[in-house]
Amino acid sequence: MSNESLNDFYNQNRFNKKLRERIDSFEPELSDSLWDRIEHDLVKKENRSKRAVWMVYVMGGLLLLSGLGIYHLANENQKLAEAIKNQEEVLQQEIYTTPEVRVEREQFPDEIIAENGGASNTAPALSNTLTIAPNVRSGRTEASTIGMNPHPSQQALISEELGEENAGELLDAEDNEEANQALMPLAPNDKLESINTIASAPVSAFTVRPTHPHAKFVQARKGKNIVPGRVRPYVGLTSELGSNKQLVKGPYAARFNHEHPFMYNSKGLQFGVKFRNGLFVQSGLSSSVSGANLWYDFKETFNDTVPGIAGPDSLVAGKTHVVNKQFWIDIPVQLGYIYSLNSNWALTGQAGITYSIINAYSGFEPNQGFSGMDQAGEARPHHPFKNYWSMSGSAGIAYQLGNNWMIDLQAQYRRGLQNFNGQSLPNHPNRTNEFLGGRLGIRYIMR
Amino acid sequence: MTNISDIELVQGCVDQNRFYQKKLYERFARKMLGVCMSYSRDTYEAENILQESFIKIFENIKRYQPTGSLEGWIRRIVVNTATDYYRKKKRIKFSEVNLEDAEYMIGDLDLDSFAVRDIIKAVQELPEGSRMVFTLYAIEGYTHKEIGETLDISVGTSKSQFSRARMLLQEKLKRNEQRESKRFL
Repeated sequence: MSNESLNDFYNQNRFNKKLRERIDSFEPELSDSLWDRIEHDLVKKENRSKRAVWMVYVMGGLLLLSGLGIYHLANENQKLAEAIKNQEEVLQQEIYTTPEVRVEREQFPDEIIAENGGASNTAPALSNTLTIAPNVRSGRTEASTIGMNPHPSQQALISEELGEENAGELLDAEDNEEANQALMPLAPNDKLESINTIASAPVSAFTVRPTHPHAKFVQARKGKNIVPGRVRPYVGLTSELGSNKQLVKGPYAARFNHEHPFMYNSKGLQFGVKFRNGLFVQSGLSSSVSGANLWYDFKETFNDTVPGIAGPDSLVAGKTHVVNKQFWIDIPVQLGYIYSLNSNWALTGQAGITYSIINAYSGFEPNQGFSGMDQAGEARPHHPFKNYWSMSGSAGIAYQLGNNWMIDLQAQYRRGLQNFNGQSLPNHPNRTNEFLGGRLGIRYIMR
Repeated sequence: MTNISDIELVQGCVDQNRFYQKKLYERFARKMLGVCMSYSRDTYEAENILQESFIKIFENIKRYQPTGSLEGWIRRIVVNTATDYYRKKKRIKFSEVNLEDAEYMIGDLDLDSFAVRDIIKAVQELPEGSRMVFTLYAIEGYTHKEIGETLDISVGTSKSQFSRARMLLQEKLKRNEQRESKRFL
């Protein structure tokens, strides 16, 4: 390295060192609002993380519920499969292997049996014997276990044969109608009638006792659960209740210490179409006049100005109660999904966009002091109806009542897709809405 | 509560105690604003960087190891935030430099004869790319290799930008010095 280079290197280092010392000693004055801005960001982040934790709990709860539901469903299915298997074995034993008492009756005419597809097809309806077998499951011998109730005239014979306590009771035909349909093929009523008239010991109502505990459950699953069923339209009512907050963004946000959310409640109609695989498309019309009572905590000092308002800011520092009544008409368009856990319970969720038409007016409580355009107690005139887009998502559980009704309860989050710029609050351009709450709905599913 | 130790400050901030957060801010904010100013075009930008830095500091303070200097840890976050700030905005432009011209201008300059505010102002007036390289090298003590990795440029570019920055800085300071001396003639 030449002397010139060494000299230059030395100069550079000296220069750098001196520069570092000088800049390190430099401590310029801080702007008054800087800490407030940092604190505002911290509050926002803390709230966001609290909300995230809350959402994790909600999602965890939903996952747990769905897990329990799936476990319950799997368990029920397994029980059902076992019960059906047992029942088949029981029927086999009862009908074919373990007759204890045979009450002989007259042979049905061949032509009647032939008309009904042969004896094997309709047995024991067209059986020429009334078989009384032990009920393997209950351990009792019951007259009805093989699928037919004896005629009252036969009941005396059965009672005599088995003893009063073992004869069992005749089943109510109406009570077992559903189970009959689910479990056994029936001979046509007119054929039964002819059988009844022909047979010397006429068969009474053709009934089968639901001999396994889930017979009605099978029937319920087949008949009630609307989720896997075909495409069905539905109509219903809906209500939302939760916490609504106006999010203030940009430099305008720096003027607030806190904003308190307000309770938002809307009620309306919903209608949609459920598709075969559980997907549904939904729209509706709901309104809210619960409006907004906003509490702001304005800072003492802030340098920003409100866009659109000439001169310094018009509001004074301190806690401020702003009555900001809003009339909303919401028209949502949503895509949803129902996941059926069993015949009654389902998980459901939906997401989409909402088109809102808003009319608002603002006023202030008289005990607050204001300067500029916002005078204490002054009510602003109504703003014209304006349009506003937001997005929303919700998830929760649904309960099916009967064959047509479904009630669902969901947690919902909605956030504005645009600012209120030029909307209902023309002086507050950097605001949008955020809603977190619950949604309760009831639907009538047309069949 | 007047003399709060660094450990107490850090623990308070880990607990998200607003009082300790403000104390930490009050202890370091002014010095760090000076650091931010050497990376930025003006005070407004410097405050934005500082605001972002303090949010990062409070979010990550649980990672601070008490074995090192708290000020050094904070300064590193501030410097990283400053470089990220410009890198994210893709605003760093590195103009061509004639190294021979730059080397020619290197000379001795007595920084003691200038007010710190004037030095900072002269640094702020440097072109963006040169300013970043100059500050990282001369003030933070980064090597040209480290600067290259931080700003995603070659070592050669870092060196040439630094030389250009020094040349421009000296020019600006000398011009200011001449202006000041003329005023008193």
